[in-house]
Amino acid sequence: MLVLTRKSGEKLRIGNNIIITILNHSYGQIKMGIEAPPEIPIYREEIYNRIREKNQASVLVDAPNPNLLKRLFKGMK
Amino acid sequence: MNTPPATSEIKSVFTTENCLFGVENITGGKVVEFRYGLPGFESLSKFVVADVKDYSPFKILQSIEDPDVSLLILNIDFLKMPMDARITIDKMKNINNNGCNQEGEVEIYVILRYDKAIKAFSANMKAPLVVNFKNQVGKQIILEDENLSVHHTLTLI
Repeated sequence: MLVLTRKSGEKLRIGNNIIITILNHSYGQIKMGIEAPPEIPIYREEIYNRIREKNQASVLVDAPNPNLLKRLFKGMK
Repeated sequence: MNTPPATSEIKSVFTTENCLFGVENITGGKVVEFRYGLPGFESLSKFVVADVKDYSPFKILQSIEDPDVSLLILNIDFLKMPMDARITIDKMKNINNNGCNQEGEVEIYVILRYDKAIKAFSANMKAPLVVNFKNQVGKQIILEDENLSVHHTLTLI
């Protein structure tokens, strides 16, 4: 892992279009600003992992039963 | 811009080997590219949002590259949800910087999960799919709203 030291207000550039600004730090927390092209998704790692697990667990193993889907849809109204 | 493929081309994505739903039951679909992949399926980017006979308004998100990856999805407009969640969603529709709505309207889908053990469906409200069919691009976003759950239980009637 590349480790760099930065002061508050200083920036990091990743590639030619991602800029990370260290805004401030206090009580063990670091606040940063990220400027990146809108199509680049930015996630907190632990939340990304939760979504990844959830997505994988949602893969269909059987074709959903149309009657079950009808009942599900009724429940939404 | 690419012209959307004809239905026959969509149908060719599905074969008897890979189609859980029966190829003959695929009634239509649109190709969507998730350029940065979906969490958990990082190596896959090309998908079809497919219509299946008797499933409407539910749809299937089928990977073109991996026949084993198909998800049940639903346009979020059909879901009953708390007012604050609705506001978050509506805001999101209007944000211009979500990466896929430079042109045309976006549609927002939630991924549904069927838990066989408890015979119940849940919706991932925390991480919906934002899709622009005109540009044929999609993205899974994660909403900051603490009240939104990855496991929003849905009732069957």
